[in-house]
Amino acid sequence: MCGALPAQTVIDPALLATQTVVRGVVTKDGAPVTVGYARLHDTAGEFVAEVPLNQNGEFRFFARPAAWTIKLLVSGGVHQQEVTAEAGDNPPVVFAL
Amino acid sequence: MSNPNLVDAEWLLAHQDDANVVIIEVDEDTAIYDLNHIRNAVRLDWKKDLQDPIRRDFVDQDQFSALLSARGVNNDDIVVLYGGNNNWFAAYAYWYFKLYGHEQVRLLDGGRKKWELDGRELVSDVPARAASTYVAKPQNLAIRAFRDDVVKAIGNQNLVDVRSPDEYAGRLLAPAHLPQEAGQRGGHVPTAVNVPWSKAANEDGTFKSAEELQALYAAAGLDTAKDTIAYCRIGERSAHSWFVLHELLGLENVKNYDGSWTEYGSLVGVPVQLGDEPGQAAGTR
Repeated sequence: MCGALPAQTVIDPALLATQTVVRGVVTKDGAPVTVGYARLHDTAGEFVAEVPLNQNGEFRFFARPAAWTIKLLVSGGVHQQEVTAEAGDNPPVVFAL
Repeated sequence: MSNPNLVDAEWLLAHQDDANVVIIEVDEDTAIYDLNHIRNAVRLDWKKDLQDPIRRDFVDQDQFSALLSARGVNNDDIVVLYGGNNNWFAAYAYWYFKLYGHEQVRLLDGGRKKWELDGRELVSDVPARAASTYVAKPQNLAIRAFRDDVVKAIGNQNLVDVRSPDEYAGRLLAPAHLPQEAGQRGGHVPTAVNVPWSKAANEDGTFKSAEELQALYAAAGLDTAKDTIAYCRIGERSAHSWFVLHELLGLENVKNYDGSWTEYGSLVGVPVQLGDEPGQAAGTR
């Protein structure tokens, strides 16, 4: 009901069809980065949500169709990418550190 | 910031093996503890351990006593809580411990995130703690609000909606790391100001300074002479803001409404305000 779904949880495709999914993956030297946090900000810079990376270096948000900024916090640095999300699933944002 | 209700990593490292210090991890994703945790930390599951399994309410005084007894917590122990997601659920547990009258509770500033990003030790070993005889006090309802309190507070008290601006305005029904559930109405309680919990936290999850926090709520129009009710979606983010207002800034008469928007937004006949403005007490619908 209320708690976060673990990021590796498989989402029902029927549910996915009703969501706007912003997702991504973080790698370093080709291997997943598992300790880090992805933060979703709106175009005004307002913080919206944060999730930890999962064991595959992945993150996922359920947002709305809009432009977003993803800030990545990892040990030793902050990285940032802009993304425009459309309704439904969106291609993964790739952070190759 | 320096505050008796907060500890930092250095304090925790110095007291990690103290017999009267109980470290407890409380996470939104309760499986994270199994992966690793701070050495000597035990787990509390915010859902299985702290919620009644049938009706929507907390475990009662006797159940909470039994829970903490099984975890080996004594009434005079210093309980140090930490967790992921900027201490959302750790703050919720902090408020919950205070609700049942535990005296010595602290939050680890920055929670699991800062600890992890600073590269500090995490282990998978689960500590063995001997069972204790814990006796919880009756709920301190001076810090818990119910739906009727919220309805009465419209236009009369400070109502602080600590969700994201999109949730406040009704553009989203849940925080963006959760699927957007249908079935509730979007919007906020009329006259509630929007001060997202995240504005009280630095990027590393630590709390902002007292001066910054005071300025934040003053800018939002919070009248410190009035009683305050904080709410979010299920009461965990608002526990974070309750901690800021009550424990860090020392405001009296601050309550957390744990029913929050999942209850209020489903009530029949109460006023709901859409959009980015607080709205008026009368004439809203």
